[in-house]
Amino acid sequence: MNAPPGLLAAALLFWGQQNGMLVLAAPCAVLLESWRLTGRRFELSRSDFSRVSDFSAVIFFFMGAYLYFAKPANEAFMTLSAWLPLAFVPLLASQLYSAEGKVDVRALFVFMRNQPAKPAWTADLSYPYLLLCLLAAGAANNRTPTFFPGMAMLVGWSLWGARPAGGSRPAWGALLALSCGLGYVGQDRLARLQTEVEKRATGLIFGDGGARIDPEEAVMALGHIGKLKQSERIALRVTPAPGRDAPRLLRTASYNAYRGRRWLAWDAPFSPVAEDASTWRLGPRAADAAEVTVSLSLEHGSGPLPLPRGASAVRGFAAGSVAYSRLGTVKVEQGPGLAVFHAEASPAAAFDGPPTGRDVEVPPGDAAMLARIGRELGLSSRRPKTALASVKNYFDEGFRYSLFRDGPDPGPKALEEFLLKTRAGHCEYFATAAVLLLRGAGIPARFASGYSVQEYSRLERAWIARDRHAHAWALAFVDGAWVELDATPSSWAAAENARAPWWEALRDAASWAGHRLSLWRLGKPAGGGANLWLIALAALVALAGWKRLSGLTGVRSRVAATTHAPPPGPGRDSPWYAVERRLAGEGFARHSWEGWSFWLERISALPGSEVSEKALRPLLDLHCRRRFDPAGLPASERDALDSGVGNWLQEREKRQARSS
Amino acid sequence: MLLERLRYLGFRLNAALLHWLRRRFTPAGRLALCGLAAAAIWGVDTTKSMAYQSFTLFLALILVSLAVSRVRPRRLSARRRLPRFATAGEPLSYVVTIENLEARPRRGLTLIEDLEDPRPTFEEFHAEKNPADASPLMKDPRPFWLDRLAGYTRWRRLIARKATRAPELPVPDLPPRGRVEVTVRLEPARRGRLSLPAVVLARPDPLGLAKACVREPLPQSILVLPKRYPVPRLSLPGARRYHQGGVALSSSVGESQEFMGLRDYRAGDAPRRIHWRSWAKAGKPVVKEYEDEYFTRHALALDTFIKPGQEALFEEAISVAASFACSALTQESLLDLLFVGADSYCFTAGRGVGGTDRLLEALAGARACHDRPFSDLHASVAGRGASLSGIVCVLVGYDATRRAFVSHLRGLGLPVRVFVVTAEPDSVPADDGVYRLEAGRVAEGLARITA
Repeated sequence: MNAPPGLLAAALLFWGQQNGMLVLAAPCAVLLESWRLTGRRFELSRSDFSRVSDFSAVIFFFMGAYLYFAKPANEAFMTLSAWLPLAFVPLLASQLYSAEGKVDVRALFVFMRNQPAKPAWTADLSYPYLLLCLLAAGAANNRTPTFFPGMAMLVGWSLWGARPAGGSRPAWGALLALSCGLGYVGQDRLARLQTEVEKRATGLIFGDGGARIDPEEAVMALGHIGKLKQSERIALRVTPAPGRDAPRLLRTASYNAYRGRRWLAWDAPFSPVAEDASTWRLGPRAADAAEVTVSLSLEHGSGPLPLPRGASAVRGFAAGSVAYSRLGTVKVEQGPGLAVFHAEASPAAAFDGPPTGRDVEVPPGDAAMLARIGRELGLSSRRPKTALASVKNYFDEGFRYSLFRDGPDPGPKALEEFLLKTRAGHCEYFATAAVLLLRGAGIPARFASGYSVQEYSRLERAWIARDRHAHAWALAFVDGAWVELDATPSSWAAAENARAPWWEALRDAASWAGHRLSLWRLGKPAGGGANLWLIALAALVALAGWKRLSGLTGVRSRVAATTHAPPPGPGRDSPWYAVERRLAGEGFARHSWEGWSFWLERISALPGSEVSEKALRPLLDLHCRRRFDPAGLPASERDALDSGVGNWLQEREKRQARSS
Repeated sequence: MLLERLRYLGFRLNAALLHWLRRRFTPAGRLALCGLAAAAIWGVDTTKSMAYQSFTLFLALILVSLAVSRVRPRRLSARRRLPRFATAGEPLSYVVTIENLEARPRRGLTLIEDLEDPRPTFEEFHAEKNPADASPLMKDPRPFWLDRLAGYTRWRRLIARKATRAPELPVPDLPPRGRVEVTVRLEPARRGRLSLPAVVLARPDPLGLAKACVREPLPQSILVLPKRYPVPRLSLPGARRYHQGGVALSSSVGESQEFMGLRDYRAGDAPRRIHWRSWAKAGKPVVKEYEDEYFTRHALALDTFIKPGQEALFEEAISVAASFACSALTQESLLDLLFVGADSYCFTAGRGVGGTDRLLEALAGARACHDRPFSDLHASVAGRGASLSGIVCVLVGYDATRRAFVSHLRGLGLPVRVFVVTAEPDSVPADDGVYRLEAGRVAEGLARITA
């Protein structure tokens, strides 16, 4: 059964509106509906359908190839999904314009084409195509409030066309409304659920959630109940210059203000860095500067760059802009999905802005406690360098690394509980406590987050950092320069590595293969090169399409429109049909092989039918004359038939009302 | 073997799932399920796609439909009128009468025959892996490589061999307390007893996505006779043989009808042949003597000794035997059908002893023999050699044992026709009286035979 008139056009227009491709959708919609108006159908053989199917496949692969070169992999997939209805317009059009109105399924798949023609295996692609339009419209991710109502309307329309015979219309409407209501509530709950799940276990489920870093705000997991989980995903790869060691820490962002378990980057706006031949210089080149190559995925091509201490320049990739904050954070906008860049750095140099008043602020709630510990350690009386060593020693000796904590959430007292009670926690505890202790001793300090580079991959021949290697440490301003203080006990690396699952090697191998593929893609010329690819692919698709469609010899003849309506003739408007419909509605339908006369005899004999053959027989005689008599029925007898049927229907209605 | 078991389990679960989907959902419902699955993939991240809204809408539609379809059609009864026999591969039609026991009309019902589970056992599935002799024509013409790799082609072949397709048929509108008849057309896939345990009456929910099903137990069965091919009438140049006891005794029961006279009792005469009145008169035992009969008696020997994986060949051999059993002129001669199953069997038809249908019934129930040697058939046929005029052998191979069997029969002076059903016709030596029938091309092979 083909879709009802207008449904496919509406679905295509809906898809076009969601995708912003109405210009393409409108002619396609006209193409898919105009066969009803022109009344032209074609005799298409199985091989003709095979050719059109191949053509659709060529369009699909063309779109896929184009998007593969033009967009990052994840975007390419979603865009390809959103464009799918375009690829299959020719196939659906061939079905709609064919005399049979269906497609032989074996024509669609190459491996089935040699199978025997019988038994017939045909399918109507209208409804699957409608479904494809709905899903593709969703893939466009045009987050407008019209999406759900539009989709529900199209689904309702298609269900109305396919509803079972004899079904109750009010029940249909009520159930559809109930389903739409549940669906609407469900989609809202589902979106919230994902947000909640991402918040709780992003690293575990989505893998990349752990790497999502906001350079302006870092929410600490201080006081988090249960076990903190981060994935094994390789977040970045580091290759030092030959003969040089890899940097131990790569900083992604620095923060200077601690507010309610959050570290914030206050008064540190980003300033654009001037580009010079794909090089962004952050400071003067030091004499002993060395280059380190870092590759990482940037979500939507944007985000902060993990850089070694003393980075003076980044280069080697294309980006819309690179910006730098005085806290030393460097972020990229409109960059590549996979950023492979070279960072020039010297451990001795540091180009972070000088300390301000914010770098010595201590939260009032914790000030007394921090001052007491500071006094115990004698931090105020020591030289800054010695104070740093004391703090490091304090945490190394009296604390242990742990990703697990139980008991109630201590709320704002999380830091106090860590320092005085549990004396166990993860790197954020240690970094925060170290920063605040140093500040309490009058040493300017900042909170830094990034990655600890501690694992060398022989497969990659590079240093790698996984999501679980995400780390936090303190930066202290000592003797006119910012120095790093990693207060977390050194056992943390062993504790993290012990959590490596058995499938880690497999996952690494897959990650390496994906990375190599991405690098190969990056190696292709961009910009004008992509256009060349596009032109080449367009030429290929045109050639392939012409080669396939030029063999459409199956369009042998045009046949007249095969309308499903019965041929016109006298008596088609006879009121007798109302009698038949009425009785059919009551469960006394006439069989297709049954004449009216036999039907009347049969149903009048049925118990409970309350059909009087005597009453209906004269009306049937009049109807038969009106239908089949070449001379037709005189006007007076026509009137008699009309009024007789009307009276009978009224009588029937009254009788049913009485009995109910 | 573990992989093979997992594969089998996977196919089995997949078949069960597909059966459930077909039974519980309309085509529109199945499409909605496809939409649900696709939306689940596309919409897995609610921030990157709006397909999650399609997911929840389809999920709600399906759940509502399933909930509504819990209300099943009640107070309906069904009755079948089955013919006595059906034939494998031939359409079978019969009528199911459905009665509405309620005082309100019923519309939109469908009827499905609830047939037996066609899924093969693990042993059958495993044996099909390397069929000993499978003709290329009996395999898929061009299986999809992935299907072949996964073993799905094998599974599909086994299902096609066993399963009988039962289409879902619309039931005409049922008037209040009325009844309607639905003509069911099945095509039994294989010989044997086709069990029809129940019928299922289904009604789609108002949305038209899920079906409410009620299973009416209606246990019946029908005997499906083997598939038959047109065969030429064979003329075996055998002479008529003496048959002690005549036709009636040949069928093991009853007396010959032609009374010849009385004679004195000889040791070994059956007591029932004693003529008691004459004994009373003569004072010594006297027996009745009947005229001896000479007539033609042929044997149809069926080879049931197959290797695992040769079930398809065996079925072809059964069909060939059934074709010859039907074509024999049983008015003029006797035909013994000999084969070995759990025991050695001999069924006789002809000259009023029994009809061809008796032989076909026996063939419909014939099973392959895996635990006995071919020599059992050899002994069974050779033991009857003295009374036979000619033998037709239907074999599923032509190895040394079978060749020795044929030589022995010929050594008895019997005219022998041998039909070898094989996947490799070239392996059977061209011999006088030996016809090679390639599995999958049996009809063509039989058509080439000129009596």
